Amino acid sequence: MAGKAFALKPVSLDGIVAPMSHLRIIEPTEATGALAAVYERMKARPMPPVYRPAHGGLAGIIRAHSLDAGLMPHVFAFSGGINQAGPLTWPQRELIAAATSRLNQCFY
Amino acid sequence: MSRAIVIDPRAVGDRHPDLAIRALVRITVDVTERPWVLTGAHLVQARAGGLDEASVLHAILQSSLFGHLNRIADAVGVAADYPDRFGAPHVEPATPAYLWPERFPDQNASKPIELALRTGAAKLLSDWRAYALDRDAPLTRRQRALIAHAVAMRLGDSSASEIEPESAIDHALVDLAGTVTLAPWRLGPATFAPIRALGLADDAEVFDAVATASSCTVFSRIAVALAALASAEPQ
Repeated sequence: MAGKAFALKPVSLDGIVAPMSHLRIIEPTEATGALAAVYERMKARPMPPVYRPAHGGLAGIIRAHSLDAGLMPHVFAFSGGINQAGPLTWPQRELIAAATSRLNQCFY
Repeated sequence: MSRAIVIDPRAVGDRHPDLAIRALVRITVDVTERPWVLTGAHLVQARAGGLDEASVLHAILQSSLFGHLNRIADAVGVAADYPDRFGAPHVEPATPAYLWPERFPDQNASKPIELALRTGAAKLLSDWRAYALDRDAPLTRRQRALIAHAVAMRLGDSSASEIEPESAIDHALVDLAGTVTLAPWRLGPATFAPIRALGLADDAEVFDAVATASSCTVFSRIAVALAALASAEPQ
């Protein structure tokens, strides 16, 4: 279902009080059709324990793509394709991710 | 070091005692802010730190990808998955935007590192690009091409087809693409308001506009960075 513009209530995820999102996030519990299917594929992806969110659900950055179910597989296929093997080590990849995010002022 | 990166990544790139860390952070800073400034000097610095061409390519791909993830997270306003352990700084919307390019590296010249060095990366990127640009809904193909050109001009990418805005919505999409590319920390309801007022009111339409621009930052950033590495002169 396409998302209309409306305000969302803050939610609490394991003690993390979330501010209102700017755009609608279609959560896995609400998803149908293509989105539901791609969410299931994302849940089935192998994931290092350190990446599993404290709240136990899918990572926010995955759910943030919910308004375009077709885009999600491309982004995360690319991510998996460049990161499942080296040559950069996990700490080096995280260093790059952290530096990029800081420069872009993205504190997610 | 995690805290140092959160507080001041440029200091880590300039002064960290580990040469590999210094090289990776320097590449990340330049790919993120000004991919056209990369030169052969970045390769020299990487090699001094024990990094090979495949490692440099991985760094370019990873920082480009995270640039997209940052932009989507900022645009949607998604909540953090973890508590903030490091006391992350607050976003400052008044932070000046990234600079426009001073040069457009020649993408047809021979490159020291080709995307093909990473098996499968070119196909994954090509498939992503086709999805982002070869569709007619919610945005039209023309609107996507307009966004792609706007992003390319702001990242030093000469490969995008030239297309000029013709209508109010075209100009609004170009402005939004500019914000996505050069000041993603400003993304939010105020930056979406112009395109909403001009008819792209649905969240899915707004997301498509942002995600198309953000995807194009990945494509252009990688192309420009790889082309720029061929330059022998520091910029």
